[in-house]
Amino acid sequence: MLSKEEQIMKVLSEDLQPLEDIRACMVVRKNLEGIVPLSEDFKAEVMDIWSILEKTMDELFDVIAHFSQFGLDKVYFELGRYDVMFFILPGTDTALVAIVPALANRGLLEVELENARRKIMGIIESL
Amino acid sequence: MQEQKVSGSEFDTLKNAVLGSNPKPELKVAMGLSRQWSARKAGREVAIKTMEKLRGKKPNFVLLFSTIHYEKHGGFQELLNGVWEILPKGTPLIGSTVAGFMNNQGCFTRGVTALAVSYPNMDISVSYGRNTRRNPRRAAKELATKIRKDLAKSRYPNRFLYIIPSGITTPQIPGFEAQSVIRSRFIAKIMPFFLKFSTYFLQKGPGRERIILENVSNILKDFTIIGGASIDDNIGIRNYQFFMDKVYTNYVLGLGISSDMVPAISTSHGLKETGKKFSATKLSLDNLIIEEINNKPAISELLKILGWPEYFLDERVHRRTFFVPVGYKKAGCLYTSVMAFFMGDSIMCSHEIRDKNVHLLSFSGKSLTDSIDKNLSAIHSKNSQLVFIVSCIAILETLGSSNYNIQEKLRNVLGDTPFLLTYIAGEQSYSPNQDPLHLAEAFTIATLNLR
Repeated sequence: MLSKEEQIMKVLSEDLQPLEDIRACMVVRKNLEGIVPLSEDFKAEVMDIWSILEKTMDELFDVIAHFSQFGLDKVYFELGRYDVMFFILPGTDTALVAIVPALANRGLLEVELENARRKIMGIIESL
Repeated sequence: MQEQKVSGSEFDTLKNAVLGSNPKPELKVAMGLSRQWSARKAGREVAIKTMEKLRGKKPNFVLLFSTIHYEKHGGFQELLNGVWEILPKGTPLIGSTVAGFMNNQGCFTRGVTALAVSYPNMDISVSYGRNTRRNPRRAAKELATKIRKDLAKSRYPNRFLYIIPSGITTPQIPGFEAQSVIRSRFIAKIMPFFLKFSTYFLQKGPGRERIILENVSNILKDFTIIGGASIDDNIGIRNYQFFMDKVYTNYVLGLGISSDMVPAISTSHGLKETGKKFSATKLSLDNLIIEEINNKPAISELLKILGWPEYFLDERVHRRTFFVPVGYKKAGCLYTSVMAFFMGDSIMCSHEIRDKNVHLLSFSGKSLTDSIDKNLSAIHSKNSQLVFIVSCIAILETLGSSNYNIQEKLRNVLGDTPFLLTYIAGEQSYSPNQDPLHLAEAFTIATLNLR
């Protein structure tokens, strides 16, 4: 029987990571604590800006932690050639985060991120 | 024990006494879904899940829709091979690639879904027309003539057609990346000629779907028709059609139904007129390209009318133009189109501009969902057994995860009634009471209803 963390990792690695436009995805809170299946390929691609990405994402989690209780649902930012999408797990300080190319078809990706979020919430809320 | 023989009429009397007179024919509608990455496994799984829900009944037909992902995970022939491991041999099947789909289970931009119907009071014909880009009229005639012939002797009064033409396929020029904005005036100048050549000889280019629909509806005048153009993941480079156990390109497919179920159809879009208009004074490539607006170069004049800065025309342009579609009026109908490509000074639209008086429209998620409410209340009744919906890829792209608001709305109104919505590139509808419509950013619902 897989642990909840393993099940969530499965959602990330089997449902989201194989999508062509998903450069990275994770379920994390501030300090990027959480489940982060970062591939070596991605790290190589974003090595130059990873520290900026990390810092920017981290500062956004202060906003998420504060406003999640008021129903904050999604946050996006564009940084260079990437969009970073935060699908907040309702009422928590944690988000499903995806890093995609800036010109990706965002609407189609959002549908799958929403599906993943619902699956993850189902895992978290299960007994 | 004494054996007593009964005559046929005595048996019917006995049967009716036990079952009630005129027992209702049993209708079964089954919907399956697979999210497997492997094409073969996905085909098997979607067919297994669909057939399970039919509980042993043989399907009259199957509709099969898939996103483009299987192209790189085994290919679509493998997808079909998986499906046919399970489906009864000879089951009428049509389908295609779509950008996404929605059903009672959720909203998806990756996966494959199937819808199967089993009903005794139904005759079916599946048909195709070939070489849709090269000769859309001939393709339409090929498809419609067979459907007409197959269903001519059907004793059921109501006729319905689900149509799937091949949508846009942008030709790829070696050395050039596909772009939405082409600044080079030279390339923009030769593009209409290149596209004309490409559409006819290479069968890469606009789908010419409106011509197909008009010609099909001319032959199948008494049919109610719903459908939409197959597409990939909104890149518009390739798309595929599925007919029985084979994969095709540049086909138009049709599922003809003759039944005692009564079809109904309704289209809405929720687009609002902004009050801004222009005159498309010079058009080319079968009225798909606007070269001049108000007798001036189209792009610069458009930017002035919209009040947009030049830098809005970058590769994110669709994130803006999807919210500002264009339309013209003809015989009281609003025909809509999306400004899809910007080349030199010209604008290429998704659908032909057949009247020079063009309106700039506005799209919002709220106005769309309000229009769906009106659409549903006009068409849905407790007798609706099956609901087909076609919606524009632009709506999928702009609403993103908010498409779930639409899914929840549909579930609330339709309850357990199975529905299948496909996101395609050009929504098509026709009925004997309505001219053929080939639209962009529209939402078309068709229902099959028992009396």
